[in-house]
Amino acid sequence: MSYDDSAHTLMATANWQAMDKLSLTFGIAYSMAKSEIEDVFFVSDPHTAGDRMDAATPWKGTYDLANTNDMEAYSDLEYNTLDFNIEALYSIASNIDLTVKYLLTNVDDQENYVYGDESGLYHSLRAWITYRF
Amino acid sequence: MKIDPKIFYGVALVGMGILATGGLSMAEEGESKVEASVSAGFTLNDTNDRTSRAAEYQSLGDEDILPAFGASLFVEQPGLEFSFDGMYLDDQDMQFEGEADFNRVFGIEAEYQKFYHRLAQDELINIRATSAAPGQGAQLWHTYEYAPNWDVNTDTAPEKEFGVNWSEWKARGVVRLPSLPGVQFGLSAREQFRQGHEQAMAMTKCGSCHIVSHDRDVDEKTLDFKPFVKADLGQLSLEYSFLYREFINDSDKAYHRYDPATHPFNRSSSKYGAVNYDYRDGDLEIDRVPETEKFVHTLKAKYDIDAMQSVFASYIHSTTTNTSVDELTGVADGGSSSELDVNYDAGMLSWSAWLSEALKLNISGRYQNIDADDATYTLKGKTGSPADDITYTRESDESRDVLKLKADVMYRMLSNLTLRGGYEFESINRDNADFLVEQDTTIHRVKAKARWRAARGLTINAGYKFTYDTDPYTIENAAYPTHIDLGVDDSGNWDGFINDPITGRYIVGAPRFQAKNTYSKYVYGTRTENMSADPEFEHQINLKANYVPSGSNVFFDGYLKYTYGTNDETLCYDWENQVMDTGLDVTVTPAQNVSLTFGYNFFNRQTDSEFFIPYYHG
Repeated sequence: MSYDDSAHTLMATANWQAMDKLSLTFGIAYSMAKSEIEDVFFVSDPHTAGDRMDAATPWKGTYDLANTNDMEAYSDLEYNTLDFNIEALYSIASNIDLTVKYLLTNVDDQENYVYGDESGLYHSLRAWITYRF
Repeated sequence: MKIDPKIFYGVALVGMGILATGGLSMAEEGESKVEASVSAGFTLNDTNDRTSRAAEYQSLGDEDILPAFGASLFVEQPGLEFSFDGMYLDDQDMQFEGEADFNRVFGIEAEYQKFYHRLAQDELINIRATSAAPGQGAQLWHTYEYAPNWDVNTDTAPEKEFGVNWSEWKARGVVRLPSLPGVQFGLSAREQFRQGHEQAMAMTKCGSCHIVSHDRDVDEKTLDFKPFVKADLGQLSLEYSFLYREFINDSDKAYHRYDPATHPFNRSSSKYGAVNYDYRDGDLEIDRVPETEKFVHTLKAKYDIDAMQSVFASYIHSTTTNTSVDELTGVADGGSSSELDVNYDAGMLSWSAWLSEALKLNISGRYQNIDADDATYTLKGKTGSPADDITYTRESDESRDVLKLKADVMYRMLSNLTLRGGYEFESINRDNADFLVEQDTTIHRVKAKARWRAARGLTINAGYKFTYDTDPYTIENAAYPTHIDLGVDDSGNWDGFINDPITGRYIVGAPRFQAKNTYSKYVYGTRTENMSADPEFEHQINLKANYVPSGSNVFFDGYLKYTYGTNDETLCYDWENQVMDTGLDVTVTPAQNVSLTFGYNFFNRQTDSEFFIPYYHG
């Protein structure tokens, strides 16, 4: 069998002193990760013939090739993740700053398996005043 | 030996306070520098769907709006330096650090960090094995505290919020007495905590179908205490340290009920116990990390023979002990009779010399000995009588001797070209190799590297490493029982016969059930092929380049690392592994007040191997 996993990551950041009192920082990253198994093949067990949904004979058809060799798809994993952040620092006075920051993480689970669908979004807005003395 | 960390907390804080305030009071006007800041604000947070990945290390994921605070302090004056910086987001997310130096005689630095780590759960929905309908087979969580009222026929998993609060403080203090120039005494300490809940899973011999999930309490602490002394005595430098490390597990114990198998076997049948290694039933502990103690002595010495050559030597002795062994009930009930210590000794010697202005040579050798205790345990037999017990001694796979010899050369061929080369010989001699093809392994490594300033603004690094492992770590007879031995024909159907794998003769009419469930003899015992996942030959290429075009405001940084390994040593298959890691970063400063960076990274790994998993009827 062949096991293949790969990840592509694109990122960009920027720093800008927009004005004497205002500086901005920006960052974004996008990653695409994928894993898969190919060419899996099992020799079947004797319990191959029959209907495995038959409660009277639950062993029948259990290890039929048609069932066990679908395992290739079970191990497929694929995640796309977006990370974004932006921060602004503004000098209100010579000793007082205002900072505003926004963070976002979005996960898109396209081939969920063991841990279920792990797609989700998190975002946070943060702001604080800093007084220097 | 137990050290109360609160003693150290107090010493560190009081010391810092005295230094800071006492120093300030002695300051003359105009000589001291004090800078401080306080921050106050809020965080507004929100999540959608699952948080185990999107907010894996974000403690605030569950909160809507919270206050946030920060502070910093910097004090500098003759004889005193003190700094502190900290941010508090909530009681699960905070970070503080500080350091102080008093007249270069006493210095201390400390930090504390805390955050919440979200964990996911294995939903167990994908393990059907011999059953296809929801509620059959694997996901047996409904009979335990995990989800007592969960309807297993819904074919979904119960919602569980697992996670661990992680926190750690560490501190390091150094004393340099003026009466002992070049000598410093120090102490470093660390305490790490993990508290929360995570998923634990247990399985019996029927485990391919019946894996059971539990909610496990986590309450663990790791403590480090490390005094040290360093001495720079002209040509000779010495360092000694003693590390005491203790891992304490205060978690509630998790138990799994190992009932005698009742389905599909009849408990009254003499064959039912064949599906369990151990015939005991009742609640047995599962998924517990044992408490340990570790003592490490480290001695280092460096001697500058002259301006062109130096020699370095070191010795390490450590002992790690599993201190939870005493909790077990003893050999008679299956507990280990061994204290399970691991002793480690290592010595290293290195000589480095400039043979000329452009040529440097380094030769080194290292010897390691790992001596780990064996473990003896007893499995109860069918009747429970001691006469049926099976006692087994498991020899440690870790015990070994390792010898490594290296020679490295660096040659400045031109002012803009530096070449490096090296050869390394490694010999591993294992004490126990019951399941391995070879007891000893020899590895040869050859490497070459060049650093070239090809043009103004352009620097290229290129390297190549070749590894040859004469006897890779290989498990003997790990796979492929022949189907004839399993009693099936070429089409995979039971042929009605049982072939004795020892004599090769078939036993007509022998009940297949009886033969197929004595795994040690008729399944494990009939495997014929070796398996390995270590390379026999491995090639690795490293390329790195950075370029700043003359007069431009652009900077390029590129890299590539490629590894290719193969192994067909005593295997019935070809094992191959390739890893590629490459990328490019571009930084542009189009104006004085703007800086942009763009980057791309590609990672790929491919492994070709045989895929062999044993699975049972359950």
